[in-house]
Amino acid sequence: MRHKKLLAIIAAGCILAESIPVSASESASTAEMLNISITNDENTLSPFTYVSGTGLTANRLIYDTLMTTDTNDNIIPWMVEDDYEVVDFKEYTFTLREGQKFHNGNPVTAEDVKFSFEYPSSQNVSGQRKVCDKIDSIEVIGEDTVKFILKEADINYMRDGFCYIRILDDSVYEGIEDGTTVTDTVGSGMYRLEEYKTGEYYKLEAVEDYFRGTPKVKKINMPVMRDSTAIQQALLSGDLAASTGSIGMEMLDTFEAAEDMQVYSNPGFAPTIININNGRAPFDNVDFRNALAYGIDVNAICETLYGDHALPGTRGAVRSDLDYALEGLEYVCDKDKASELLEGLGYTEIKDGIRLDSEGNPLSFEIITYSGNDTRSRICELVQAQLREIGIDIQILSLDMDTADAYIWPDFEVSNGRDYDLSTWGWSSSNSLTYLISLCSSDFSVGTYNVCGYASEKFDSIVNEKLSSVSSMEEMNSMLKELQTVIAEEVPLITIAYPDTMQVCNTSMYNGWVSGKGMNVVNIFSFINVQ
Amino acid sequence: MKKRIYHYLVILVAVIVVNFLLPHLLPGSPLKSLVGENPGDMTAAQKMGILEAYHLNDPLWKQFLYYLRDLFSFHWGNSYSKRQPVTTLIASRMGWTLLLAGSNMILSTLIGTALGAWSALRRKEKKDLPLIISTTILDSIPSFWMAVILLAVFGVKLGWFPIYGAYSMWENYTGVKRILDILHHLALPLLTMLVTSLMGFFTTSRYSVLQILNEDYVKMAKMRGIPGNRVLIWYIMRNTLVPVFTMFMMEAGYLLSGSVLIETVFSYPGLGTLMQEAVKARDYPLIQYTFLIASVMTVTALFLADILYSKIDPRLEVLNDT
Repeated sequence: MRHKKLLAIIAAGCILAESIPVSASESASTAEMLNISITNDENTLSPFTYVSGTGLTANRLIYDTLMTTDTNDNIIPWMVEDDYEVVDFKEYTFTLREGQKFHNGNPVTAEDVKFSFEYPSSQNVSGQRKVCDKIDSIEVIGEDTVKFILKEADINYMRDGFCYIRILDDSVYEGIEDGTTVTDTVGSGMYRLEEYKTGEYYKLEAVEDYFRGTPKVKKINMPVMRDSTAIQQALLSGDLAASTGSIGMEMLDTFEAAEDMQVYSNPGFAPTIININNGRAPFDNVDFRNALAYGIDVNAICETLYGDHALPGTRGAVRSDLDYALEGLEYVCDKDKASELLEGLGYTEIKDGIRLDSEGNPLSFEIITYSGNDTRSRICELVQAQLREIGIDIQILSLDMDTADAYIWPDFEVSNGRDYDLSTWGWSSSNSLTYLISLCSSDFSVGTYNVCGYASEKFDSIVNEKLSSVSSMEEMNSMLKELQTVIAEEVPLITIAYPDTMQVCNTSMYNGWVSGKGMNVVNIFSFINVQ
Repeated sequence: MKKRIYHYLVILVAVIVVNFLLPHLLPGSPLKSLVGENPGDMTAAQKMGILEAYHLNDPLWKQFLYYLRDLFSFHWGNSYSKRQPVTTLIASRMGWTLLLAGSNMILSTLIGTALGAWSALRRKEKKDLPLIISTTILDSIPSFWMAVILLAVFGVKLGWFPIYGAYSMWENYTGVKRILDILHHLALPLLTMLVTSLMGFFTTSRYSVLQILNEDYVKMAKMRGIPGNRVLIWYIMRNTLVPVFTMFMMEAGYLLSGSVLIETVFSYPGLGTLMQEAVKARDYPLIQYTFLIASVMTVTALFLADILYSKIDPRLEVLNDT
């Protein structure tokens, strides 16, 4: 009996010893194996099964795209030669670089590229379908050259289309009606999916003969870990080298003080917004919305919540450091001006500090926020306090994400209307050239993200007159500036901030981490020296 | 007995209906799960087409008929969000939850009952006070907070236990090594559950023993000079069984769904997290069938309890008959 106990203890000891986290390689510029947590189970990681932006991040390691964005968010060729041709933003001709293979050994051909841009149109995949439906025809010219002709000129297609659509092996998907049923994850990216266990983990293995060079990390293990506290603890303990998820501001000091931990803080493109229901009185009045904009101290909220780790929003609704951002649209908190506007609208009578409307009802509104998002809840509290100073009462309604979405964006279709006063909100990115148009056009086939129900003749006429005839970046930028002017005047929404993306990596295990504008640290440039 | 079976059949029918209705009554749409990350990018017609393909635009009664057909033909379909058969998903997770929650049930019953009885027997010596205070404090700590504390101390600071998963995912252990590895991973989540679920059994057992200690037959047994251990086991503990057993069967009903938070913190691949993910994704098939299984389990536990009560305490059978 004693022997059995002893054996059990020894065996347990062996397991403990073998469970010690992955050790660093000598130089740490390369690594045999890294554990990087993924914050969601993203199914087989194929372009038709991943479910969120986290999946897109991991999927990019397995699937390649014709173009990609570098650390400065510039668009660069990836699978294709540098001498690609663009005619009037309508015709694009690319030649594939040599030596590209899918993980099953098949060569990447122009036919695969054509298939990859045609197949999503028949699938239930939101973003890809929209992009692929813009194509009029695709012509294969020889083994490695392909020409795209769009239905209409689209200056943004390089980013929205060629940086986004993953190249598939047509032999894997050919003849398959529903792409989600394909269980083989076969891409041509720098890592192949070695194993996936539902809800538990992914194992990726480097493609040694990858056409851009051999990845510096041979194996990446990705356990599915949803709890942010557990992820942070695992990073501190060395069980994880990195995570696809971000860290909160409250953990910043801890990680900055921790040994071998590097915090990567990069400008983020995901805005934090206060949506205003433009279709509901009194928010349908421009002066009232302006009163809100003057009453809310955006810069103070940004400073309080994010410190130096966010760019404050502006009235122009785009990052103020973008090429086409109009200067001088910073929010100015002016309570007197806000009060003046409210009084001009007839809200002169005040009872218990709250203004009354013409029928004697208090100006009291609800702001919807996600219950699990502490930062947004804090924004609501600050807005509540600030608007009270100008006589507007705000009630905070904290709902789970899907319930909130059902009020703000029912069935994810803006033409279905909306049922809210104010809400906190966010989009995953705002750097697309068509962002403002999607956000504010009242033609809901174009303004697919117009969850505020904003309708402006001025805005729409600029889009209708100029968008289809844009033939250069200068013209596009000029149009976007005009749109910002309109938005700044009419305030369809209030952009609070663009929080930085903050991630943590263990540099003793591996020090090749690369990060950049709006970029997750788990990206292709972290694992390869681009040749 | 027949009457009881009818009662449970009615409950089962209600469970089936409610499990169908619940996800449909939740605000929100499963569209996001069906079409991926940017549902706003699809046209209204495309979205409508997808909802139609999944019969989600049909009247509710029609959808209910589809549900009944699938339920009884055991064609439970694919999860909207996981793109895999619901049965495969449930099967892959159930074992881990049964291991975690089942181990907890057994241990918390044994330890909680024993501590409760010990505390009651020592009440006059006032030795039970620290025990009562400590169990009360432990019970008042939220399970997720306890999980984080244990994880930080025993997982990170001391490094004694792994902090995620149900086994070493990156190793291929077999045999005894595999079993030890699983137990090693089980330790922290189990300890968390145990600490936070002891109180129920502790108080039930304590107050039952306190009550029974004052019964005439116990006093009589002591006066007759029956040995203390015999009185304890056959006169006291045996009669404590009924309330403890009730508690045990109630816990059994929550076996599959009671460990959601703990599974999330420890990235334990159980059914609790699957249920939580299903609700978040408005994944109707997955919500319906995971909750159905959990509900059926509760009903079964109650049914078994009903049957077994009379075996444990024949007096209850007589009461039922009258």
